[in-house]
Amino acid sequence: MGEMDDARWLEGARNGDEQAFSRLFAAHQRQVFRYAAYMGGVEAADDVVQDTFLAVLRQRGRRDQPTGSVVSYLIGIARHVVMKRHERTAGWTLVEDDLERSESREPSVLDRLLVAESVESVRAAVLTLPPVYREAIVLCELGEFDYAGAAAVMQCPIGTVRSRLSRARALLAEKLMVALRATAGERP
Amino acid sequence: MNQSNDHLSDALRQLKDDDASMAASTRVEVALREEVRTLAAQRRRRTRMLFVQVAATVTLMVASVAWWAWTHHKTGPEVTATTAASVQEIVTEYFPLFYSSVPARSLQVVRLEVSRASMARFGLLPGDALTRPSGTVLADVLVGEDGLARAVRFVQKVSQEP
Repeated sequence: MGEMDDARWLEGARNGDEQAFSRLFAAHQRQVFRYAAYMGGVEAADDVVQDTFLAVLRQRGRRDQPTGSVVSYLIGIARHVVMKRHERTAGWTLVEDDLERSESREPSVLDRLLVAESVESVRAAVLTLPPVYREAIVLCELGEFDYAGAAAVMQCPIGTVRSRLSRARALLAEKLMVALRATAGERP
Repeated sequence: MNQSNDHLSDALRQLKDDDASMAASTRVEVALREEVRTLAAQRRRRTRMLFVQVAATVTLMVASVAWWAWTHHKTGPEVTATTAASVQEIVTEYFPLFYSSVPARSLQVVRLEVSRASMARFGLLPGDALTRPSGTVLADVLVGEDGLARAVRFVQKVSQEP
């Protein structure tokens, strides 16, 4: 499956070709769903996927053609749908704050935590990240995007993606460590 | 720190693997398929409308051409014969105009109606100048491919009794 196929399926789906739509949907709905679930909440993810594909199907004309990959185009629309649904634009466009990079002073504790923690704990930690950092994790760590692709979706330079991802990882480590301390404190 | 980073990467990889089962529910795909079918129906309707419009235009054009051919076949020669038999043209010689010295690769004759006063500029007087001092006369203007007029002659149509 390549970009050519994606573009052909997209064109076919817009022209009412059900088979082309099926292929396009099967190829990319999971990525769109995952993005929607992390960025807009899992309860709204179905609606975001539906709105995203509806928008894609109904858009016609030269200015509605994807300029990059079709998956970037889809995630870009999903991003817009999520922002519109939740009207959290301010949170999404927040200026990079002066969060310190969190260097673990207790790597061994963190290590134990990360090994022991369930996937659900990591997911919960990801969900508590601020949107701009969460987005970097969702696209680059959990999704299939490279820095350039993520930059296209996030509409920012590649350097910003790197910096957000780095901060996101630091924040994530910090959150997991806090969770460990809390768990350790509760233990008898 | 590197080890922590590795563990964090591992944890994220596990999360990614776990997320592989995430997918939109069937109702989303069903709704979207319905939309695609609607699009297909709209497209078919548009194609049908376009076909009807094209067919109507072609029919109208054919009918127009047929009507034109029928009417001209029936009345054309009669009118021409009448015209040829009853009207004669008297023309002057060509008078050079301002751009007559500009070379031209090809010339075309353009027939115009000009004011009768313009004949006087060339020292001419229409035959009926005394009875019709104002109005227009016909003139053949020689125009080059560059759009510049090179010469002019005046035309008078004379009716003849059959």
